[in-house]
Amino acid sequence: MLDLKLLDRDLVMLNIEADTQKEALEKLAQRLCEKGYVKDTYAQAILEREKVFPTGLPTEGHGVAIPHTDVEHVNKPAIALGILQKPIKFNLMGDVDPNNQVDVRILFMLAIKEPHMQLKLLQDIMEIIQDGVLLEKMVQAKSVDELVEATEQYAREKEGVA
Amino acid sequence: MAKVRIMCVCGTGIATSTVAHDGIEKICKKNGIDFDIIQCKALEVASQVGTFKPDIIISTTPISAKTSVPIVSGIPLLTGVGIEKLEQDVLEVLKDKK
Repeated sequence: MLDLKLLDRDLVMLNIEADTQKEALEKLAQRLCEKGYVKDTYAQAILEREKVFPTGLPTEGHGVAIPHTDVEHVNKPAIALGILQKPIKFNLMGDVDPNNQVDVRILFMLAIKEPHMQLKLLQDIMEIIQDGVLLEKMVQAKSVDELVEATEQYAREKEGVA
Repeated sequence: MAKVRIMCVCGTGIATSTVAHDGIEKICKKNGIDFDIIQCKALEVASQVGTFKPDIIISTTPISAKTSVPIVSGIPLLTGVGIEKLEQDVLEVLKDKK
């Protein structure tokens, strides 16, 4: 079920050191930019959008955020996955109260080019974040290989059930 | 029976509103509701309400525009938490329309 084709291993960052939301978002956005997936304008657009339309999502375990922005800042679709060294507060998606925050350890930064193409991917992410055990494995992973293996194992188990 | 008009809204109009779009489509089909759906950005709500004339707005983001159209939070369509309540809320809003 899990389509990891858009998850380039070069776009997985473990142990991101950041004290602020801005720092964390910039580090991940910069990686997308270095690899040519997004334009120079992407990082700034991500920061601005996160302020107006926050993307923090509460989960059973580690908080998750799915920062993303408008298509014009994107060259080709991708997803960058970042694990933060320590939790950073994000405002909750769809919540008008800025006091409602979630401690985020996992960032799925989306570079979206066309809506329907990425529907499956977004749905997969939503499924992943409902699995507290997998989120814990992702946060504990010592290497990119270990993290990818955890998601692949999860995908295999899901397929086995289905 | 007229088609109900559903508008899915998120910050960019292409990311989480796409997931909401897919989710609400499934709910409509399950309940035998005939529907038209569009997606738009939160900033486009005022103009889209004027042209598309939705019966209901499903939004994953707060909407600042003043509108008389009922707004239901689409977050349960993303996280799966509270999905039954969302279905009830949507059916309640649409019960007079279909």
